[in-house]
Amino acid sequence: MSILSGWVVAIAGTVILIHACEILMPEGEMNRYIKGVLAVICMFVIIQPLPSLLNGDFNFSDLFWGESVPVSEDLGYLDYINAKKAAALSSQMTDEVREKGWGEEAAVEVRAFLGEETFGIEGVTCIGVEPEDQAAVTAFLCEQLGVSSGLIRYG
Amino acid sequence: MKKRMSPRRKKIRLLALLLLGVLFLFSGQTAVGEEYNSVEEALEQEVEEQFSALDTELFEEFLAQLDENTRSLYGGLTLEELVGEVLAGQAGNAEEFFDQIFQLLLSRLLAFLPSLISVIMIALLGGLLNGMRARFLGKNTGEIVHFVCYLSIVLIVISVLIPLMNLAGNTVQTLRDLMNLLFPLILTLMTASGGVMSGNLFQPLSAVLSNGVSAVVASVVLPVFMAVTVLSVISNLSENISLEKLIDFFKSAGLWLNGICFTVFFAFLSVQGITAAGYDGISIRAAKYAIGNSIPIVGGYLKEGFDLILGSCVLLKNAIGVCGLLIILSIVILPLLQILLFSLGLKLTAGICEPLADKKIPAFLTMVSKNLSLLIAAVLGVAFMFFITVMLFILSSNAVLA
Repeated sequence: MSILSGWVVAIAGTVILIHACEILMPEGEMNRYIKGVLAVICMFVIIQPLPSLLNGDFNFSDLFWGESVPVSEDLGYLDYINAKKAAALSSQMTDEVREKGWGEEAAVEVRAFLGEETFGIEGVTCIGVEPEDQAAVTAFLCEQLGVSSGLIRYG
Repeated sequence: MKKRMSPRRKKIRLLALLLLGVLFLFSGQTAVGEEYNSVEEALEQEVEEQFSALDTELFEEFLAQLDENTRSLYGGLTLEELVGEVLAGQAGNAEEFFDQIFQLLLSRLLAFLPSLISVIMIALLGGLLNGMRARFLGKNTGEIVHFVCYLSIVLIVISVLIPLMNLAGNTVQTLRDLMNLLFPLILTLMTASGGVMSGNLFQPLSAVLSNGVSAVVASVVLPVFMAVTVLSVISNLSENISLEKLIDFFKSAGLWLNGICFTVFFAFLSVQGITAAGYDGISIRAAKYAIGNSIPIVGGYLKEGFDLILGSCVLLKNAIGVCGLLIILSIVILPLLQILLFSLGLKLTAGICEPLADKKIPAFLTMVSKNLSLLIAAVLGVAFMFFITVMLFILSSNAVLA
C-alpha cells in the first residue's frame, strides 16, 4: 500500500515542519496570518490523494485480492485411495461369491475410474463362474455394488 | 440395514451371531481385547500407508522455515511425527506449552524494559526542565527543549513499535501460507473419505478465506492501523495541530472493514457448514438404505477392506486438522502476547509519567497503546476464522462411519 504510506508520510512531515515553524517564529503582527496559511497548507496535504481517487483511476481489485492461489486437491492421492477402495471391494466380492458357492476359484475384479476425484466403478470382471450361475452372480453384484448389469463382464 | 435379505441368509446370520455370542461368553475379556487390537492395528497401519501417499513436501518445508520460538511451542516436529503423536493421543502437552510461552514472554519483557525505563527518565527530565522554563530559559528555548524531549521519547517508542507492526504483518502472511498448504490436504482427505458434497462445498469457503478475507486484512486493514499509529505519534506533538479527527476517520474505516470481512465470512461459513454436514449425512444414509453409486456398503459392520479405508481416511483427516490447529495456535500466540505486553507496558509508563511530565507525553503513550490493540484485533480475527474453519472441516463428514 504505497499510496497510503506516501500519504501518511506526507502528513507527518508537514505537521512536524509546521510545528517547527511555529516554534521558531518571532513574535509579531503577522504571526496569526502565517499560522493561518500554514493550516491551509496542512489541509491541502491531507486532501491531496482524494481527487485521483475520485477520478476513477483507482484499481480496487488490485488492492483487495492480490495474488490468489487456487485451492486444489491432491489428485495423485485420490487415485491411490480409489485404487485401494477398488481392491478392497474386489477381495470382499470375491469372498462373498465363493461363500455363496458360485465357483470355488471365482474371482471378482472391480475397477474404479482413475483421474476422477470421487470413487466410481468403471467396470467389474468376474472369472471362474459357471455360465448357469452368471445371472445370479450378476444380480448379486448389482445389488451389492449398486452398478447396472451392463458393467459386469465375465472372462 | 439391508432392505431385502432372504430368510435363509437371515437364519444363517442369526446363527452366526449366536455362535459368536457364545464364544465371547466363554472366552471372556481376552477375545474381545484381541479383536479390538487387531482392528486398531489394521487401522494404524492403514493410516500410515495412506499418509505416506500424501504429498506433504511443501507443508514440511513450510514448517521447517517457521520461527524458532514458534516451533518450540509445538515441539518442532515434522508433520509426520506430529500426526503420529496426535493419533496416539499424546499431542499438545499443556504444561510444556505454557512453560515455553511463559519463558519466551519473560525474555520479551526484559527486552522491552530498557525502552520503557528510558522513556520514564526522559519524561522526568523534561518535567524538571519544564519547571525551570519560566525562570532560566526563554519561551522559545523552553519549547525547543520540550520538542526535543518529546521527539526522543517518540524515537524510542517507535524503535520498538515498528518491529511489532512488522510482526503482526508477518503473522498474517504466515497464516495465509499455512492456509494455502493445509486446505488442499484436508479437502483431499475429505473427498477420499466419501464426503464428496462437503469437499465441493468447502472449496469455495476456504478459497474465500485464504484469498479474500485475509488478503483484505493483510493489504488494507493492517496498513490502515499502522497509519493510525504513525499519525497518533504526530498529532500529540503540537498543541495547535491535532490530527485526532483524522485518526478517528482511519480507525473507523479500518474497524468497519474488519467487521464487514468477518461478518461476511461467518455468514458464508454457517450457511455452507450446515448444508454440507447435512448433505453428506443424508447422502450416506441414503446409500445405506437404497442402492447408491458413490459409497457401496457391503455387510453391516466394520470389516477389513472398504470400511477400513474410509475410516482411516477420516482419522487421517482429523489428525491433520488437529495438527493444523496446534500449529495455528503456536504461530499466533506469541506475537499477540508480545503486542499485548508492550501495550500494557506503555499504559503503565503513561501512568508513571503523568505526575512528572507535561500532559502531552502520557497522552501520546496512551494513544499509541490504544492503537496497538487494533493490530491485535485484526490478527486475532484472522487466526480465529482460520481456527473455526479447520474445526468445521474436522467435525464434518465424520458421518461416514455412522
